[in-house]
Amino acid sequence: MALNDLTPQLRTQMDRVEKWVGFFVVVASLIALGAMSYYAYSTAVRKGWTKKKVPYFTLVSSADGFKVGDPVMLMGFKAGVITAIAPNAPGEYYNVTVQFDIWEPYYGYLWNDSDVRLKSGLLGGKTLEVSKGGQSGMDIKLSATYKEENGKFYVWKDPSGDEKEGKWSSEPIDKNFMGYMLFCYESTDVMKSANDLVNKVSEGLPGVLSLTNKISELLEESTRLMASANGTVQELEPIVHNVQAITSILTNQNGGLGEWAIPPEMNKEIVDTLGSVKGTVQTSETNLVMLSQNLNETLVNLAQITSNLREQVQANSYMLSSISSLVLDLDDLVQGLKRNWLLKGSFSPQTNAPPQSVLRPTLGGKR
Amino acid sequence: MKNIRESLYLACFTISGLFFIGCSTPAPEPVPFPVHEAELLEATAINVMEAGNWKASEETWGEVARKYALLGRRDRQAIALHNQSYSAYRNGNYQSARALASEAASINLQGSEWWKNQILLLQIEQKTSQESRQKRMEELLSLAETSNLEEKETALWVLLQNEYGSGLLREGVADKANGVIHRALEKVNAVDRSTAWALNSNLAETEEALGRYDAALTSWNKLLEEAKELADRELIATALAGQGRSLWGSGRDYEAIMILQRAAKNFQWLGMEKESSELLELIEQYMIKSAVPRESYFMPIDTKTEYSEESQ
Repeated sequence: MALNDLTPQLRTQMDRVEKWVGFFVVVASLIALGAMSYYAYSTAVRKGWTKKKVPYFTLVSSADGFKVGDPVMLMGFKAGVITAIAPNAPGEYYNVTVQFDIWEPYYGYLWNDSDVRLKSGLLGGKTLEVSKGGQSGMDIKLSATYKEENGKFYVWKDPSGDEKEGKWSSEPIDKNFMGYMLFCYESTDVMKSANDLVNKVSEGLPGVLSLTNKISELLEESTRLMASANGTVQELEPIVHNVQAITSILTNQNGGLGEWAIPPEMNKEIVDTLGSVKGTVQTSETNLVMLSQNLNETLVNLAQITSNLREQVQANSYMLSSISSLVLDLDDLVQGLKRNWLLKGSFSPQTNAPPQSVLRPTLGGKR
Repeated sequence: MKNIRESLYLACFTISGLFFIGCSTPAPEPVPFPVHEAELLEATAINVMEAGNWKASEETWGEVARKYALLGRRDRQAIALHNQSYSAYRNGNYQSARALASEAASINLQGSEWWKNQILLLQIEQKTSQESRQKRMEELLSLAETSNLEEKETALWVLLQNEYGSGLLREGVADKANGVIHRALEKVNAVDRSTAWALNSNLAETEEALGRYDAALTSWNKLLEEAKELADRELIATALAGQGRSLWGSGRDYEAIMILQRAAKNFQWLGMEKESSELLELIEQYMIKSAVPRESYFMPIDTKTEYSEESQ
């Protein structure tokens, strides 16, 4: 219906409506524009586009679990993102290069002894975590990895070859610069445990050496004692010989002590008894030998079991971190369930009764 | 018609969606770690105090007070200081207890917590300075009158009257003490069983002091049964001591000495050496009076092998 077909009153009314509609459209557009701008800005902030950043790279054995855009963590903060993942040449020792940017102010925390550690997530994802500098205990001259001068970044170059000390690059880095290389610990737990073990062994070694010295002294003393004992035994030999002669007379001749004290019947019974005792002892000895053999086999099996366990733990170095992540993720899940309107009743907060000032009435006038 | 139905479906879907989204409560505010730590320590202090481990209780409440002071939680700090003071009082550290209760009172300034602090100060000063206690008692009684404490905080008023009555009893004004405690007992419904027991116990003592031994003995018998129901060993020992004294007053010397020995033994188990030795001195006096050879009644107590009254 054309506007000319309307009555003048209706036409005036329609003009007013059109103005309001236009106003509404303009306001709505402005709001939408504002929201989009805010979204774009917050996305840029989240992704670090507005921040200064410097490149780093590390070398890992597998790209499994990584993707470009994944966060890089430092001390629990999102400190940067992965920018590139590329396979190395077939002859290289390490298989994959992972490049990442670190944003300001976090690159100030990374020194030349910083490293990268891998954290495994619940669903197979991995996170790069860079460590703060100055904590490795390495005996090197510590330095920041980058320095900024006049808005340009200079990278630290560690000593190589005959150089005794590192130095800053003479030229600022450009867009083609690959980054500062950080070493990656892929199986942190096992390596750290091994390192700790070696340290403990080195601490305990002086004690062991002192013990061996004492044992050596003891053995020397024993040798001297044996030598003097040998002399004594030689002196005792004639006496023993005489005693032997006397006892043979007592036991074997008529009127000797043996026949006088033990009648022939009893002697026979004693011989029989001793024979059966000997048989029992032999049987017991056989059983004991079998028992000790079985025990030995059991111990060997036990050793194999523990060895297998150890191998399994070493083979899967991510086991412990996975369990840790699982616990954290489960906690997140439960926290989420607590907020659901249907389930929140099941998680009523446990509040302790407020504490009271304790006061007991005085008992008796006599006390 | 079809459009209306579609609109209805759309409206229902939208409302359901909004219902689901809107009904999800926002994430609860995480409790800051220092607050959580202080609350955990506070729970520990309560448990330790309930177990009667006064030494540990004194230390733990001290730590709780320090943490709340750092967090700026003055109300909780005052409660912690009060409980630390009470624990110190039970440990016999009266000077420290007095300072702590005064500090708690200076934080509270007024209200029921302040009254609790003041009553605790009265109990502490009973052990340290009678003069201060007398002065404080007068001020508090006057303030209770003007602020109508009897109606506003009846339980605290009863506690105050109990302190007043027991103080009078100690001063030897038994008839006045009897009247004060009788008046407090009119409001006994406002207090818990332990406080009611204490009031009745003090009343029984006034009866003893007034020479009404039969009435006192009846009261102590009843109080002993109640104390066993409350399973409170200190109350049991107190009731036994009262029974013993009343029996002696009634002329039943042999029974009196036997029961007083049981009471002394119970105090000894509770670590209340002072109360125990006072009773033993009393037994000794009774024995000297009646010329009973001491060795025939009193045997050394082996606390490692005997059983307490509570378990009998």
